[in-house]
Amino acid sequence: MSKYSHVMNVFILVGLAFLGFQMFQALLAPDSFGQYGRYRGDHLLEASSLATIHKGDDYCLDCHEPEWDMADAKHANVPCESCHFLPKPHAIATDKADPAIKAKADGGKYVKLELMPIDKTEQPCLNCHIFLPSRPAKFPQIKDQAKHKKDGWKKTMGEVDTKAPCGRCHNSHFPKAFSKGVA
Amino acid sequence: MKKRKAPKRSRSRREFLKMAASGMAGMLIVTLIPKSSSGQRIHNIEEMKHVPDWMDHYYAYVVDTTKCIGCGACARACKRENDTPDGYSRTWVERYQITDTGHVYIDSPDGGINSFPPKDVEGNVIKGFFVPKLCNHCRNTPCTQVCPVNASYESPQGVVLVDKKVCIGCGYCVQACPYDTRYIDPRTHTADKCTWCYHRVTKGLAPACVTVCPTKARIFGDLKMKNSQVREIIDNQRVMVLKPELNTEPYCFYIGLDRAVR
Ligand code: HEC
Ligand code: HEC
Ligand code: HEC
Ligand code: HEC
Repeated sequence: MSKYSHVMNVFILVGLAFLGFQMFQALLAPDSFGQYGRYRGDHLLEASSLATIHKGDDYCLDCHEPEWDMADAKHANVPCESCHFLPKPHAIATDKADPAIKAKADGGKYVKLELMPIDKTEQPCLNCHIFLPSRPAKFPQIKDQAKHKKDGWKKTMGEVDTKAPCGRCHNSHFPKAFSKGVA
Repeated sequence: MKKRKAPKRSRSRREFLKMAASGMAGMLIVTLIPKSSSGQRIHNIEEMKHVPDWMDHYYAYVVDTTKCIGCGACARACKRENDTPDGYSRTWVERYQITDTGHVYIDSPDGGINSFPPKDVEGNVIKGFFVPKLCNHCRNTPCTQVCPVNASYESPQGVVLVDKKVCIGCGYCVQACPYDTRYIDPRTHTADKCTWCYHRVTKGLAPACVTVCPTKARIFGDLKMKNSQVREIIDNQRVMVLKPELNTEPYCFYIGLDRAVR
């Protein structure tokens, strides 16, 4: 026994602890751990491969642009999916025209899969246009619905029906109020 | 009567330690083998990339509080896109109303998901605004630092994510987040948070909340792109972050923040 054996013991113990740690880490850490950083690298791939639900305006306008060219309307910047939403495609493109389909783009070469729901109630309009003091002052808001409709009738038709839905006087896509006699 | 045997010392301590050491070394080598041959996986990720350079981005988010109208379209879109459980939201909108009596009224019914009903306040509202909130994707993240299992981390694109397969649901990160953006999903019992719609942005789409915002109060983009909108705003306008005193270095910037915002 050399006089350094006690030092060797320390080295062996430290070495063992190191090896043991390496072993447990290798056994317990997930395979791709450390690929990009101190996390499971594969998760980046998993997280990015989920399905996308919202499609964006460009997608809708591929088929609907000819009818709903909202370029000069006040709602031009209001995204389709803030009013219409379906979690899956409601139509796909085909080769031949389907006479039952009104969509005029590309001669109506679409198959309708499902009905895109349309909320014709006042609720969506009010979500955005009811008067709230926290809204930016220059955003068009209506303070008193009954008064708005009364005034609106006077301007459009001259008669009064305060129960008329917003859609009687406003087109949802081109919301400038209809002129007299149109509605 | 049987004679009790003296306990036999089969190995000396030194022998045992030597054996243990060589055994561990052997196992260590075995465990290293699959790691060194895992180049395949990197290849897979290259294949799965959705836009050609999906790793080569650095994202930032800008909220223009002067434009927000509190319609709640963002909160609804987020729920639909990410299927968050009822009562929990990854993004929400807060309403601030400051009256001439000096009161600050702050509310956010259901996170603003059904927009905001008019609210009676004492006095007249002299100043009011909406503040959309979401994960700030900090660079100096309190939440990932406390994670005991490295389930939460910062991706190379600057997005803070939670690996649900690794998360043990201890809730430390929920407590650590100074912006209250995390929650424990009651269905999976793991932490969940805004990912800036990681599955959309890696495919070149904007996050769902940005996609549906009618007034462009929410803006998302890539800081590495020279002419991106977020860079233009951060370079030229006066932007703020929430709770700058905490030094979390958020990458979610706010235009028009009021001192009442917490
Ligand atoms: C592949 C082409 C295509 C795309 C993309 C598309 N649509 Fe359509 N859409 C159609 C067709 C076809 C119809 C059915 C028209 C008909 O029946 O006359 C339709 C009908 C509609 C209707 C009316 C439903 C009804 O009850 O009358 C709405 C609203 C609508 N789409 C909204 C959208 C929105 C919002 C998007 C974007 C998310 C979108 N569409 C994308 C093809 C498309
Ligand atoms: C402000 C809410 C709103 C927005 C934004 C909006 N829509 Fe609509 N849309 C409506 C409503 C409400 C109707 C039903 C109109 C009616 O029949 O009175 C409708 C009807 C439709 C129809 C059916 C028209 C018909 O004649 O049957 C289509 C197609 C459509 N929208 C497509 C779109 C597309 C594409 C966009 C995006 C560019 C869009 N909408 C944006 C509210 C909206
Ligand atoms: C998602 C939010 C949203 C919804 C829902 C919505 N709007 Fe709008 N609306 C807007 C925005 C944004 C503008 C543009 C405001 C501006 O120009 O500053 C606007 C503008 C208008 C205007 C024009 C105001 C003007 O100054 O001429 C009218 C009218 C209007 N909307 C009516 C409606 C009606 C009716 C509905 C229900 C079908 C509706 N809006 C639904 C966001 C919305
Ligand atoms: C009876 C017809 C009528 C009805 C119903 C009606 N409006 Fe109007 N609305 C008008 C007219 C007319 C104007 C234009 C007012 C003007 O130019 O002075 C207008 C203007 C607006 C404006 C723009 C206000 C501004 O300050 O620029 C908004 C926003 C609006 N309406 C929203 C709505 C909403 C939301 C509803 C449903 C709750 C609704 N309207 C129902 C006739 C109507």
